Amino acid sequence: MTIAALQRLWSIGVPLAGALLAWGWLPEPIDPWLVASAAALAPVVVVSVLLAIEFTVAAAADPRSPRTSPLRVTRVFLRELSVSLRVFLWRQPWRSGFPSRCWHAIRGGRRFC
Amino acid sequence: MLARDPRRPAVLLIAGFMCNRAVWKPLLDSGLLARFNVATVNLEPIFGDIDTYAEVVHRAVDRLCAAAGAERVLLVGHSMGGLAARVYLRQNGDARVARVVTLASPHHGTVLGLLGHSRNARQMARGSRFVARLADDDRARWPRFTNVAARDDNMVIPRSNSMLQGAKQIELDGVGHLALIEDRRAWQIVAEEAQAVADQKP
Repeated sequence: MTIAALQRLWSIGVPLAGALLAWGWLPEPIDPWLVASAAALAPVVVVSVLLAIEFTVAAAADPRSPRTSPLRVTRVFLRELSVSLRVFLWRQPWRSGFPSRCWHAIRGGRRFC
Repeated sequence: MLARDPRRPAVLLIAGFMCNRAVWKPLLDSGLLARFNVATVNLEPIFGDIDTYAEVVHRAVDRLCAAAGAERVLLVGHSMGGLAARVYLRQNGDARVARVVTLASPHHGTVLGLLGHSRNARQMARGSRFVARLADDDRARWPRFTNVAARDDNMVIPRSNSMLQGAKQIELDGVGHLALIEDRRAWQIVAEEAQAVADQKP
């Protein structure tokens, strides 16, 4: 299985799981907007939890001196979260399909991909 | 059809663990590498042995050199891609590689690798036999490397493990492991290294 195929499954599966959980847990009558919100939030929650584990391990195993300010950690965390969501949910699963042998003109230059 | 141009520096971008060529899209779209011949390569199978990725890199280097008419390439590896570049050099020698830039590569392993179950994750674990053996084998090549590290790396732990002794070392502030690949300062370093390779040519 390719990285793109695996991440296609993930980019569909996680929002779907979020929607199903909301569908199962919310009291009747179910508001479709809440289900849609759960689907949209599910990847954000999953990636945030994984990143939180990484940042916690990093802080514990390799403490900085002087200690990094909470504001700065938050800024780095949010930037990493934003890039991770774009890379793993959109770019890699859905935008990596360019052929393995081609030349593309890009702004005057060329890309061999 | 592209006219082969040996004067145009050739750059091979190697994606890391769980990443594919699309991760380089912002860099490619930035236009900073527009003057160079740039190829990208995925390291697959996803959970394979890093030693086997050297063959993937080898094929990509050959293909790029043939298509671009270049004699040597600049290898740029993000995360595990940097280790794959080192294994490639160990197996194939330096003949086709002018220089190597690694972005947040766990050269001396990472604590998080201890939590992984796949073959390549275990190889990237801190203190693994793989990283120790690789260091023993290629220490003499380290001055040909440029290591770009993220000061706030959330994957390479401890962060100093992304540096090789004797290599050109650059630490960037306020950026995490994956975000480094979208950092304009890192792009600038890659472009400058590619230009330096071009300037080396007669």
